[in-house]
Amino acid sequence: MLLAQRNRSLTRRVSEQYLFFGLSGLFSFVAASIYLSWHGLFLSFIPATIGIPLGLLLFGSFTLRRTSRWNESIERQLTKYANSANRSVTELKPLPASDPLAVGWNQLLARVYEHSAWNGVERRLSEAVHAQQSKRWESVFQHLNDGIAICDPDGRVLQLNRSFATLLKRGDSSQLLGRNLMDLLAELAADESYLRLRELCDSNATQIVEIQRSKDPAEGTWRLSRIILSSESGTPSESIWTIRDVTQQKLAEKAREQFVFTATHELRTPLANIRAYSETLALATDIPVEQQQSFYNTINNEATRLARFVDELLNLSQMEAGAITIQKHEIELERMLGEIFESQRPLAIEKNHTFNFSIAPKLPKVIADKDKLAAAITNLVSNAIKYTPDGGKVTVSIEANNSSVLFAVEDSGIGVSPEDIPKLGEKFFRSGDDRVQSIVGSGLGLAFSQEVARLHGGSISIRSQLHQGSCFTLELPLR
Amino acid sequence: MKLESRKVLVAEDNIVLGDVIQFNLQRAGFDVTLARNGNDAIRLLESEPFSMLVTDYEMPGLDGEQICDRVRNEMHLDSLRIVVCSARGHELDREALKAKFSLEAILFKPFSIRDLMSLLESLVLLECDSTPNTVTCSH
Repeated sequence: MLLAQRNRSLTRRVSEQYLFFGLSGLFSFVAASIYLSWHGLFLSFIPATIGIPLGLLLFGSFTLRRTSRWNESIERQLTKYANSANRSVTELKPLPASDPLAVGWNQLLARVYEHSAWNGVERRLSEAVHAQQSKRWESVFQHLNDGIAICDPDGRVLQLNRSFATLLKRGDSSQLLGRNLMDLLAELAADESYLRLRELCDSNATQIVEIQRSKDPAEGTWRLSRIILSSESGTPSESIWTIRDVTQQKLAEKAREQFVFTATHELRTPLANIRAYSETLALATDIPVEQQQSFYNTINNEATRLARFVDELLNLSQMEAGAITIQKHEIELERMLGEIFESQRPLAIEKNHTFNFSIAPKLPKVIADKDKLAAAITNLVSNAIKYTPDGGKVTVSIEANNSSVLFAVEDSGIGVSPEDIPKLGEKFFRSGDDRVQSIVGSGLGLAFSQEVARLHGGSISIRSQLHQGSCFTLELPLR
Repeated sequence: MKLESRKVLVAEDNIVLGDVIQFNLQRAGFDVTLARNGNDAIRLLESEPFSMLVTDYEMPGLDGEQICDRVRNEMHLDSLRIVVCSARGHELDREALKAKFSLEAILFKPFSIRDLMSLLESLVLLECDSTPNTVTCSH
């Protein structure tokens, strides 16, 4: 009953009430007319008692309908809006009228339209931004240097980025989806590494393992870590695997270890000689004076060698700290090079090398740090002598042009493989070639020479052919 | 007669050190032969009998460990007493290496010549004690 009344329009409700009062009026009129007709006045009042109330009723109903039509329209629209499924504000229409109700309604609608339009823009913008953000995350995921894979609890790949696919030597990461990650990783790992990998897989803890392709870490070493995500119930759900190629890091560590070995060897060897000779002199007091003299000389030479190596270590620590400074003065190239040649000649003679020296006439004056430059060139020359098998040829030449002086050291030595050439200047780098390994060296000489050249605004260029020989050229700009 | 009990092969690529070891051992009455690298040492061990080998650990060609391996596992010179000298520090697993090749001692450079000599003397004495038939032992 109540619901039925609520569903009726405003006009109907008002007009029903109006009709009730109208009918009451009509009843009063009829009662009045009966009373009048009782007194003999009935006939003359018939038209008035029926016509006038009816007329009034119709007129009132019409006026009421007219006045309440906007209310009705609003009510209808709102009812329709409330009952409609999508509740779109576009279903609400402004009213073509100028009375306060319609104007108020129209203004309200205008505000609602405006608000709704902004909402739409905001929604579209937010969708666009969201799409862009997820695209950005996808891009970040794909372009990270570390390989990342997300696996389901059974270890099958759900998502995998490019770096991971590249590491597994698969071009297309989409082909790897659904594959078991352990099977894929097994291809990277040597037997021992694979066992470690299995252990990682069997445990539920977050862990990091290093896997190697073979016993030699230089052939490929990867650091693999896994994080297991737990679902809300606490059971393991997806796991995130990250993998990083640490081969270079391993090589650097190995080089550093190698350097420590070399350095201790280089320090202990002259020390061993000094100790042995001094002890001998103390023990054997009866030996001839000449022999004693020769032993003292040996001790002296070994002490010099030790001091030189300590200098090299000092240069290295300065280089590491970026603290090598140069003191530039005008230097006489011929004299400096003559000294270098003389200092290196005994080594060249010992190895039966043909040791040549060619200086172009009229070399320009050069402003440089004499000690550092001499040490840099000496390194190049002694390397050439060291890394050329006995009976080879080492030629040192100096030329000048308008802009620079070129110191070239050419040898018929073991040469450098093309892949090793870019690494030659790296500190501690020593080629894996057996012939190089059998020669004592710190892997610092060339790094130091390059640093000196750089501090003078110059550079060292390397031309080499494996088994044929090498040519190292230090270019020193004149200005 | 077991005159070879004082026959020593010294394998040392460091020329100055090799010379001074030879000088001292000869003065102490040892019969010293000097090898400048691992390959020479093997060649000498193949051609003549030695009772003792003093070898450097790091050498071009064959290193000390490879020499020991050849001596024990290929040439089967089980009675040869071996002393290794090394410029490596304690990164060398001394006990493992000693056990692997039945070494008498590993000396770290810079070692004392006097210690080396008394070590070799004690090895000569051991050699004499372990061979009761020996008529004389030349000291």
